[in-house]
Amino acid sequence: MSMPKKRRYQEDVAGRGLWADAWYRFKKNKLAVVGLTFVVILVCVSIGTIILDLATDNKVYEALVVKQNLSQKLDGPSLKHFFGCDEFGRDILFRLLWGTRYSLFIGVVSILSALIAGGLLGAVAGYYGGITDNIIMRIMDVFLSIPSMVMAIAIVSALGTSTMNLLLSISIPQIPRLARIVRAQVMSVKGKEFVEASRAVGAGDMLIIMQYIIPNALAPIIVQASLSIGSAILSIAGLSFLGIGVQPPTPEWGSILSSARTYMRDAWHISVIPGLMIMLTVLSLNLAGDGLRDALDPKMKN
Amino acid sequence: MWKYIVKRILMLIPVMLATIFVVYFIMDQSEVDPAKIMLGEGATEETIAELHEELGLDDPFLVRYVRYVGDLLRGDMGNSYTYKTSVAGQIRERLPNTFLLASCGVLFSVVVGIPIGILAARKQNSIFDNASMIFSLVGASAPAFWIGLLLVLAFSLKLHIFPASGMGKGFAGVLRSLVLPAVTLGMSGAATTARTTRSSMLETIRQDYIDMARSKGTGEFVITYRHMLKNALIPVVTAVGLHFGVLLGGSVLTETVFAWPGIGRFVIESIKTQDIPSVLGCVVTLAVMFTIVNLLVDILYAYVDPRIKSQYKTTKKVVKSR
Amino acid sequence: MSILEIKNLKVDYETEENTVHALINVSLQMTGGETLGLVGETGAGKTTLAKCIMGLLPQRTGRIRTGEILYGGEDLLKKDNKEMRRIRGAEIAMIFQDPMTSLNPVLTVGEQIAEAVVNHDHCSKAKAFSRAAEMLELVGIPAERLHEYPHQFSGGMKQRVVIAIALACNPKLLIADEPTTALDVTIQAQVLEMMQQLKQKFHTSMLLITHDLGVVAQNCDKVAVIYAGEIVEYGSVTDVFKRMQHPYTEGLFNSIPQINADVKRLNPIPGLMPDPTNLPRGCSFSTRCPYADDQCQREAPELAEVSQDHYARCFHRR
Repeated sequence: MSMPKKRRYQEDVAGRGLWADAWYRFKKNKLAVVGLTFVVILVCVSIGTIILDLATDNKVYEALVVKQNLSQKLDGPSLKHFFGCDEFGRDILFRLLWGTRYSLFIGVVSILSALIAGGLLGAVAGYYGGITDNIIMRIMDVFLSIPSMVMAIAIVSALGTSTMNLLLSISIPQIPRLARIVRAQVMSVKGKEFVEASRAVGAGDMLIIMQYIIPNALAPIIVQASLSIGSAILSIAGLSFLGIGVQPPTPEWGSILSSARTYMRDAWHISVIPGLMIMLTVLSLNLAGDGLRDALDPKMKN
Repeated sequence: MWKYIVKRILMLIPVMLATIFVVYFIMDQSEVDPAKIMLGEGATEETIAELHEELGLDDPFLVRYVRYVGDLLRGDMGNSYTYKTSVAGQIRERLPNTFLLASCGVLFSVVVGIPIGILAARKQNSIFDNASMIFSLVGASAPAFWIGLLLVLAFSLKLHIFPASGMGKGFAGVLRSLVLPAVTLGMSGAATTARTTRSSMLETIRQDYIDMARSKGTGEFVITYRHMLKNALIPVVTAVGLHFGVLLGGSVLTETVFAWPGIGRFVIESIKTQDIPSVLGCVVTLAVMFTIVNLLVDILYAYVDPRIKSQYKTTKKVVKSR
Repeated sequence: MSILEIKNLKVDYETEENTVHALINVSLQMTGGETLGLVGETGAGKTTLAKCIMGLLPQRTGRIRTGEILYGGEDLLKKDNKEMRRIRGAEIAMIFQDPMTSLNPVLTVGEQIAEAVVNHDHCSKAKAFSRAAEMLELVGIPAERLHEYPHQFSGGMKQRVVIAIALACNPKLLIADEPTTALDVTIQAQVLEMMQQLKQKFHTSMLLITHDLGVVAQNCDKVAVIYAGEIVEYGSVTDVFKRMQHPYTEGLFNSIPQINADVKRLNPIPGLMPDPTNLPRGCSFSTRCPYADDQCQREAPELAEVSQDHYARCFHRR
């Protein structure tokens, strides 16, 4: 009885490519669109503040985000300070806006580098199979058997706290997960006729991987990556909260929360608002990622 | 079944050795010189070199790794720089607390997540279903430590029902102080469990054997709990097991928020004092704990799914000529 | 005395986008002890009819517009869930199409047979299991395999288990929805033969849904041909097979390869079944019918009696 529905659907999407088709379906998912919008706003905020810093030689940053003003210490939310002030009288709204870049860029860059590393490993394992596959995937299994937060803590504690090390510690634990997905995709694409056909006309391994396998395996990989960014942001905030991520006075969201703890009794807003910000960001990424998954593969939707 | 368990345990050994190898390698990248820390301020070049010799600190990495594993087998994890006592002792003291917290966290996520998932699936697209899906989305997106802070704000500072930090004395005291950390730790697990349960229940509702059960005259209650749940739980078991890793990582944060005297808090303290042997010991313990839980999940999995169980069962097929 | 009488049953499936007309004014009658074959293509509405009788129509989409399903004089469509539960399994049982998916993988076959017994006899577990063992033996599976799981059985064996479940409570009416389609040809014959024997033994009436005319010829007393949700021809097997009246029935016979006929190629019916969301105004078969004329496209023919107890829905009866 699903036949007529299918036919109508095909009419709907006739003449469109995979991505245009996916975008068409994505737009129909309101939650996903809301999520994506919020993410786009955050990206604009972080780029905007960076440009502002460069243009004013950090003057705005110093004045709004770093400068202490003890007279308004721990002030609650008001018209003057929408989100209130922290223990040094700094406006929390501005600190949050300037903190956006850390979560976002460390999150994106760490997942991107994990994707490159994991993608290469997974692609090689899936493409060549056999012993190569076995060795790579067993190593990945070992990495998977260490909880990612625990591994991140180990890496940071061994290498010391710095943004670079934070990036590494978020990125490395994500490699095996992404490698697995890429491998599975590559293996399923590898058997398809068009790959056989291009091999038959003498295409080399690298060409086949680059030209056929990666583009065809891309959709689920992008979905997984977008969902991973959310968990990476949670880890960044977590590590900063523990005092082993981004260090104060840098206005990273997790580290704002960390210092807020001490003043919880007197000022609830410093511990509630930054957490809300983290949650909304991760939620938006998850909504957008889920929407993307449903749009790219309608069969996976429950 | 035993054959399967033994096989899995044997497979665990190389995995554990490799896990420890990775952890040891990571921690070996530390530039902290143990000898300098052990000897304190007044150490000279010679005494440092002597201690290096004595502890074998200049030996090749592999030699030190093998030595570490050997010591580990005897329950020796070296000495803590800060406490000057054995790391194993420190960990042994704290492990039960972490274990208690983690089990209660898992308990919370299962006890809350599975019923929510079942009800949401049974009443698909109802208000309850939508509310529970919002819960699971929010629960999975909120940082655990922040949920902890909110709980402290509400239940300790405002309502004074539960203590804000530390571990209480006596059974009732421990229980009281356990509630908030366990809920904090289990929240994201409850969210993912609810989501997995719902989607796998929805998957099961469509199956022919559910209509078949109805065609026998079976009631809806029995269908939900006997026919659907048993099948739907198979993926849930996997999800809960996988989530245990997230939970162990989360225990570090939760223990810090609630000043819970467990391994998670110990590892953060040790990082701050550059107490490398303690950090190493904690990380190894957490990683080993996770591998063991994975093993238990696999065994549980085989228990829930007869298709896996029978692969390893030595059944005598009754061939009867009639 | 008729055991089942369906009158003017009209069923739609409603989705967000459209309405599928699954059954259109279906009327059928079954006498006690007989086997009625229901023949038609995939999507013609055969399974919908079976699910309607069982009261298992998907709740979210299935809508019964009009009609009655009289079982022993009582309208099943008016019964509530509790009453239907008492009828399902005990009075009317069903065998599903695919034995691979109709058994619950995490329960032993014994548990699944015993459940049917417990549902209706309210006896002890032990007694239910001994009844289950009996039923297994009856369908030709050693009772020792009672405690095995479905995946340990082959497809044919599984269908035997399904039959055992269906017959465990001595139902008076058995609905078999393509019971052999998913099985190997050699197993098909075995299973059908066994079903015939058990049907005799238990004095069960059977509604046999199939698309295989051979199966109908061997097993049924009467046959109803269904096309796009409508019964297009209905009568005794001899009448329908020897004196077919509807061009669709004719088409079905022509598309069977015949070993003794000297034909070079098969004669499939051209085209596809009409879109059930958008049925033609006149006769629903007119789009594929070689005899169709203006009248066929304008008006829908009624199901008319062509000879005693032989009905057809066509203007061009021969």
